[in-house]
Parts: sequence; structure tokens; C-alpha cells
Amino acid sequence: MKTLPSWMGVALAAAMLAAPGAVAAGDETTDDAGSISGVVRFKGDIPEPVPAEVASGEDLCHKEKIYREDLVVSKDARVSWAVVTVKKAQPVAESDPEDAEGPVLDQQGCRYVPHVVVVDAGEKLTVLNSDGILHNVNTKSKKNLPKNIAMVASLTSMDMKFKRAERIPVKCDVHPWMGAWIVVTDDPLHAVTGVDGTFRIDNVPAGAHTLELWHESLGTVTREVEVAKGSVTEIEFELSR
Amino acid sequence: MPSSEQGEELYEQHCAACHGTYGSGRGFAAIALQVRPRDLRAEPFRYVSSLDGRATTEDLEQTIRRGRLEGEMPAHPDFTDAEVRLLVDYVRQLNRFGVIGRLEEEFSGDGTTTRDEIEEIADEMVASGEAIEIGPPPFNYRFDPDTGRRLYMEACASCHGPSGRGDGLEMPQDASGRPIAVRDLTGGEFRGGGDPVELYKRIRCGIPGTPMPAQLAMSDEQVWQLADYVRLLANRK
Repeated sequence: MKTLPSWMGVALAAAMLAAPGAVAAGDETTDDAGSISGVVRFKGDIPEPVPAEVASGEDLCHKEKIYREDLVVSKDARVSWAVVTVKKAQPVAESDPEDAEGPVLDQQGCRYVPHVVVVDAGEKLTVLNSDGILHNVNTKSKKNLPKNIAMVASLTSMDMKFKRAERIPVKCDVHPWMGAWIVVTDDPLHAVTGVDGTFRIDNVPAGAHTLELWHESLGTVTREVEVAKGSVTEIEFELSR
Repeated sequence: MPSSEQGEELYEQHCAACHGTYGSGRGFAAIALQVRPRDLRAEPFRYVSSLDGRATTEDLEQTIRRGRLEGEMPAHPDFTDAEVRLLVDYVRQLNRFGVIGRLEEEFSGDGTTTRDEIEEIADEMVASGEAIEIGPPPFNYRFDPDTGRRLYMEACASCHGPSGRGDGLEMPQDASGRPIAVRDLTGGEFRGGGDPVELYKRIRCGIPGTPMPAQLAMSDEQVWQLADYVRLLANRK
């Protein structure tokens, strides 16, 4: 496990911020806490991007080519949309509520952006409709009451809250290729990998932790990690189908 | 003293022929129906007047007492209030069993969900939703076909088609993954009922278990305009 000086940790965090809301509370490692940083790689033949079946007369849906996002692997084997969670741990520093931008799920060009959004149980999720056309947000939840809400062009923003931890698939019935995951969690320390397959979680209390990685197509993996004060623990995951 | 045994008896007598002994929707008489009876264990109730996707007690009482005639569910005007209540409770029990079964199948293996939590979730899912207020339209309300059409094109046409024929989507599915037809509004068949108040409920609350979503942001007046526009499409007075 490498340790990095704090200033490099900050630079690393800035450079590797994977997705909005991905990094818990603050960018700097405090003295009581450490960070976990890493990358998720794919093992095996790199899967080609699969085009989505876009059956729609809507021009907006054809502006850019839409691909399925259930398994997104870059040419250099980096895995997108993996959710990394520190199980049963609380962040050391309180995040500043003014600063923190809550999680957001948007609808752009007939796609959900991001494909995976993580929200704490009871936390507000802001759902946006940047498309200006009718979408319905249909959450296929089992532990939470399912919701199916229309967002007509004039309804550009809507809030949702989920009571229980659950990984919830979301779809649009108007544009059935659209799919996303709302991962509701009881564990506030989490991150989601972006295109570069990297993640970083700050404000992790020093000590032993269980790290859980979940990907919708590649399954769940757990790893025991040791986090030291004021330093960054590096982790690599390698997943195959 | 009401008991679920009495509810079960009433159900066997009056409901099981179509809805099946265990609520599967495959009673022996179901084959004679055009509309498939609700699977009371596996499907959510569809005709609701709440915004959280749950039927209210009044919704279920109405369905039992007045029926859903266009959905081929008969009325039972001869039931006493107590009998209706017993049946509502019993039908909720069936629903609850279904929810518990599904939750156990999905979650009890991975050790993340206790039986207590599963029962808690099931109780929540079958509890009564909170009814919305459906007042009469505002006193100066007048149906304006242009407004109705504009709202329809924005909120409905993508699925129901520009003329309301139900030809907007290719292969929609209900919540159980079965193919479901987008309603042809010009056919004038409204399974939850075609009177203005029922249409208001469908538009405002959606139809849980189907792709039809709730409209949370529309004003009261807009929902009434849409309801009247839909009646226009269906050629109703």
C-alpha cells in the first residue's frame, strides 16, 4: 500500500473526481482520517460497446448515438459505473451542507445521466429533465414504494427520497432503452467509477474496513482494507464476467 | 366480530370464481372474461386516488361495491358495509402475502434483510394511500379544446398517439413484464371508469403497475382540461 503526502492527495482527488457527488465529504484528508483510492479493471476480452435499440420518432433521441451502459469498459480495460462503498462506516468530518451538491439524475438526449447515481437513505435525489420532452421516471423498487412520475416538458426538476437501502432500476416507458440505477445506501462513504474506472473516498476513519464493490453486470466483490491516518490506501479491483 | 375467516368465506363465495382461490386472477370463470382479473398477490391495485401508488381504503371499497364495470368487475350493491370492509381487508392480505413472497425470494438469501423488515415493508406496501382531494373544477372553468389538445400533445401523445388511438409506443410492458396495450382513448373504454372524476384520478395518480405515470406538477385546471379532452376523444357527452 502506497502512502502519498497530503498535498498530492488533494491534487489526486481533483484530477480523479469520477462523477458528481462521487466523493464523500471534502477533498482533503484530515489527520484523523484517511482515504481510499483505486481503479476497477476488466479481465478478459474487452467488450465492444453495444448500441441501444432506439425506437423513436423523436429527433432528440437520434442526435447522438446511444449505447447500452450495463457494461462499459474502456479500451484500456477500465470499468465504468462500479459502486464502491465502505461498509458500516461514518465519515470523520461533517460535510458542509452549503457546499455539498446533492445527487442528481438528469435526462439528456434520451439517456439518463449519470447511469448510476448513489443516494443515502432519506437523502434528497434531484431528478432533472433537460430534454424538454415527455419522460416518465419509473422506479422498479421492491423495498421502497415504487414511483412512476411523468416529467412533461415544463417539469424540469423534481425531488425524490427513498427510505430504505436498495439498488433500484429506473426506466422510462416512453423511451424503453433508457435505464439507470438509483443505489440507495445506508453507508455514506461511497464513490462511483467514471470512464477512467477510478474512485476516491475521503474522510474514512482510520482502521480496518470492508469495502464492497457492486457492478450491475459484474456482480459484487468485497475486500478488507486498512486505512491509516493522513494517507491514501490504494486498491485495485479486477473483475470478469 | 370481523375476522379474516369471514373475509375468506365472502371471498370464496363472491370473488374466487374469477380472481382464483389464492387471488391469482385465474379463477375458472376468468376464461369467459375479456379483461383479465387482477392477480391480487402479484400486482398492485391499479385504480387509485393517492399519489404514492397505493390504493386507498375508499378505492378498494368503491371497486368492490360499485364494481369496475368497464373492467368487467361486477358491482355488489347488496353487500353491507361490514362485508365490504372484510373483503377489503382480505384482499389486502392476499396482496401482502404476495409482497412477502417476492421480498423473501429476492432478499432473504443475502442476509441483508430480516424477516421483520420484510413484514414491515409488506405492511407499508398494502396500507392505504393518502387520498387526494378531488374538488369540482374551479367555478370559472370552461373546457377549452385547444388547451386540452396542447396538454394532451405534451403529456400523453408520446404513448397514446397523436389521435389517441394507443399507437404511440411499440411494445410497452406492465410492471410484471407482460405486454400491455396502450389504451385506445377513441374506443371509449375506460377500465377504471369513464366519468370525469375517474379520469381525473387516472391522470393525476397514474395507474400503478402499468406504464401510465402520475402527473404531479399539473394544476387542477390542467387535469380537468385533459380529462375533458379525453372524453372528447372518446366521443362522450
